[in-house]
Amino acid sequence: MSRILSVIFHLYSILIRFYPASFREEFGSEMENVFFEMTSEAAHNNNSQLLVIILQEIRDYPLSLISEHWRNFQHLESKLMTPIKKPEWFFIPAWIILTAICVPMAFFLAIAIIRFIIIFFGDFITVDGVRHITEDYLFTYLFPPIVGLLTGCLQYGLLRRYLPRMGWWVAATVAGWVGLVLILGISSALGFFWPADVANEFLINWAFVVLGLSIGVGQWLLLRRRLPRAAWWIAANMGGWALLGLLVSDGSLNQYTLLAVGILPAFLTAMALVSLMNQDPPPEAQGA
Amino acid sequence: MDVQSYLPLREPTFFILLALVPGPQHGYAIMKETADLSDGRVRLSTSTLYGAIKRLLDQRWIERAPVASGVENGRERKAYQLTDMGRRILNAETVRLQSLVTVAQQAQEGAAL
Repeated sequence: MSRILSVIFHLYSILIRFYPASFREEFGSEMENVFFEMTSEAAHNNNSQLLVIILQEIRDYPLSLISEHWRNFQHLESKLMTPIKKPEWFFIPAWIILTAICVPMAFFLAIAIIRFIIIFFGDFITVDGVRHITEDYLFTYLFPPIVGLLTGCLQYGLLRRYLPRMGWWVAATVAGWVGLVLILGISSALGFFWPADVANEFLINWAFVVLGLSIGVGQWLLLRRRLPRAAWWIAANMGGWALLGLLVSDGSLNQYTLLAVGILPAFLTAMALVSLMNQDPPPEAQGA
Repeated sequence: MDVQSYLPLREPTFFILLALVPGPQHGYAIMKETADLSDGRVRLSTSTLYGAIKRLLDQRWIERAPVASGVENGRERKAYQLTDMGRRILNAETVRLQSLVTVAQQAQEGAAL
């Protein structure tokens, strides 16, 4: 009997491990102790009592497990609305520099990767029977994820000091940049403007607005759970990128405007982010 | 604070609070007391008991009783006790249940006449 009890107790200890860590740390050993006392006493009295106790535990365990995980999730969600700290004076320049340098960095990184690929595949690449210049063709697909990844990583490095659990920021930023390619690709496949009419200034402006929207929405999905009125983040992104589109749509892209590509949206988003982070957290978060 | 907003209590919660009225109790004692008080109707599993204890601690209806905690058979035991808040809520629930019983009795007596 003691061997069966030992197995039952061991299985119970395993089941306890599936509770959220905070619950387990607070009550896990107490639960094991109580279960040990219950089962030992029941086994001493009669076996049917032991069976009833075990069946009762099996019946209640799944619901209890789900309930504790759900409560834990809600608790973590409410904690998200409590910023770690307010932004200091250097937040805005740091954000602008980190965001702005990503565009030229990504540009040169993409070019370097493409040059490496050209060594193996040559200057021209044939896709679906159509011959493309390797550099032009690959740049469209390489640049957005690289700039998204660099921007996401650098911004995350800064943001994690101020907002809790921001790890998904990198993925959200990459998704935002890749989203632009997807939206334009779908537009092209459906016979809309891109890439045949890409030189059209109006359409270039729209492409920038779409980029702002795509990045803004991706990052807003994280910010909305951490900052009140986070929808302004989408507006700031769209505004920043739209403004930039207006400046560069006349085709005068040179190294200076390339630098500006980063600075304008970075400036507007920095201002928006500081305003959002300086808000007081909602009352329900203050008690969390 | 309006204690009425927390009523009615769920039956296990009511009996757990009731089990703590005499004084601090540890988990296993609460389980046994709950079963006794309810004539065996409310038999708590460990998962239900500690889920309820966590909620009651969070709501500050009960608290850990450091004095009554200790070690038995080499195993650590933690005891819990009612807070003032918990006692007020239990009293309010008892009054509510009493009034229900009174109303039910009066209705039945009225029907019998």
